[in-house]
Amino acid sequence: MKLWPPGWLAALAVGSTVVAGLFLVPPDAAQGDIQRIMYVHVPSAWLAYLAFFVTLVASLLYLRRGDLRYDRMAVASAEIGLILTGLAIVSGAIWGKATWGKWWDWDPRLTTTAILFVVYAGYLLIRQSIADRRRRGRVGATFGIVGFLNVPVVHFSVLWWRGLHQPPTVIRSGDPTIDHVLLIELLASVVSFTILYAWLLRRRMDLEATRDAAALALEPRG
Amino acid sequence: MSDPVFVAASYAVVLGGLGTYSALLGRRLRAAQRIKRELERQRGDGLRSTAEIAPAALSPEPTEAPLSPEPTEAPLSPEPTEASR
Repeated sequence: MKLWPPGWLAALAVGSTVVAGLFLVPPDAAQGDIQRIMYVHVPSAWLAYLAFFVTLVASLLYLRRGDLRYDRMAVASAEIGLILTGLAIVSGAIWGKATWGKWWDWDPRLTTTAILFVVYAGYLLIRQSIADRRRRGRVGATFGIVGFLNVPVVHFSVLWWRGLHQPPTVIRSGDPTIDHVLLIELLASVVSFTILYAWLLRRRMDLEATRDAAALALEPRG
Repeated sequence: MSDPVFVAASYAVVLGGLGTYSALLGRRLRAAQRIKRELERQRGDGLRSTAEIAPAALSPEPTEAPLSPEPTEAPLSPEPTEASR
């Protein structure tokens, strides 16, 4: 399919926004240079949401149509989402140490994000434990649908409960509470991470399709 | 630690993590493609060798061979007779 972005485009997009985020965009008035972490931390978190949403939709389509391509998309997106969640947690911990003075706190946002990580790690582990291809797809799809229930909890946790993590500054009712220049760089980073996500998704789906073809080659003909 | 160190550390973690994952994904993909090719090759070899030993077990065509006498009547290679002259 021609819609998938090439690897060089993903590298160029991410590289450009990283250079802009580090050297071109002015520092934040309140936090100074440390706020530049936002340009990698927030896209990681948002793309993790997107990845798990893709897993949700692909899981629903697999259960409805039984086409293995949807199952491959679901597992591929879940794995990338798990990586992005992990990166968001670690980059957030570094940001937390710089601003809160500690790497970790049992803050609602951090805790629900950690639960999200564990849920999708479990999704991948459960899939690996099931040998039958179709059953693996069905169980995985069920898990992928139920697991997504935690994503809105993560997002709204900063509104529902008190904690150290700041409330939403962009995805909120009313105007974003962020300077326009910084917002443009943030959105550019999100776009570049989305291109990278699409490229990774394509490659991860190729891997799953190759594994399926290899498994098929092992089965007796008849 | 100063702010630039924290910023550099977080960029290194995210970009390094994504770069490492991309590289590992490429390796996994190449390994899976190699295994798939090998399995398909072995399967092809296996089918050929089985066909040489017991063709009837694989397909019904050989039992119909008497209908087409070409394989038995046609000389496989005329060279030995040419060479003996």
